[in-house]
Amino acid sequence: VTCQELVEFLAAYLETDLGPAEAEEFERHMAMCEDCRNYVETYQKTVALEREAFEDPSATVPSGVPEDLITAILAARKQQG
Amino acid sequence: MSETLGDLAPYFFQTGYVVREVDVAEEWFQRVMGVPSFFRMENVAFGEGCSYRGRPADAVAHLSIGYLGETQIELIESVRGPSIYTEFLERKGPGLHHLAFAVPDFGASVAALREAGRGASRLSKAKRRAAAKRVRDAIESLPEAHRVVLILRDIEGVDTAETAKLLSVKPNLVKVRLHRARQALRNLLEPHLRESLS
Repeated sequence: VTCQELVEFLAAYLETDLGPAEAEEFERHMAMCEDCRNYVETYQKTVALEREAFEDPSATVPSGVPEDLITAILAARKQQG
Repeated sequence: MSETLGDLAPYFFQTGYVVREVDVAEEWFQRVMGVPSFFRMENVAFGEGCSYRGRPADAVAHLSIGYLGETQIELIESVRGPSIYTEFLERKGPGLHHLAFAVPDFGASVAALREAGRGASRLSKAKRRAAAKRVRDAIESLPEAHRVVLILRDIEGVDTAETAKLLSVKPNLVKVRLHRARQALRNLLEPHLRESLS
């Protein structure tokens, strides 16, 4: 695995879409490559921050769906034709 | 009232691990940690009475239980999500997921721990609020097609198949867009990621 491939297939790796042999290769590369370890760490941190950004710290329940989401979904559908 | 995790120590009984493949993990715990045997329950459904992020949960997992001395080891392989396990795997990768305590009064312990945690979170509230706004602004700046996928998948917890159906696109396109959106967001947030990692 090259660094570029690791970055490209990272989502698949994290969602366990890769086969066991490929996943193992991923882990071998990460064990050797500090840059890739940093990338994976910051990628996962980004996903964690997304969730936190929509959790209101003063509220006990998570805040609702952003109001424009429904509109955006409809627009995205239309775009596909 | 002054309950801490230390006070709960006598009730500690289990460490739980989220793993990719329960049979591989069982083998490892047996070979490396010397766990004598595991009892596996396949396709355990977390249905009725369970919720995930405010919605009724419909998750399935393989669970495996073994003992390392006095400590129970639980291995969890998610079969179907979304659940706290798929979320954990996505955020952190496989590893230690929870410590379990069998307390005499569940409600009282939950309340005491919540109270203990509140002080710590109050300190950094303003800081966290600013950070949250920064992330929301960055998400807002993503191209719409990517932003929608990111919100549905990562924030709303909708799975790939459902998102694809909702947007009338192929599941693979959902995966590609999600990855692109996260990469773009990561690049936007990069200057702030280091400090929040430490």
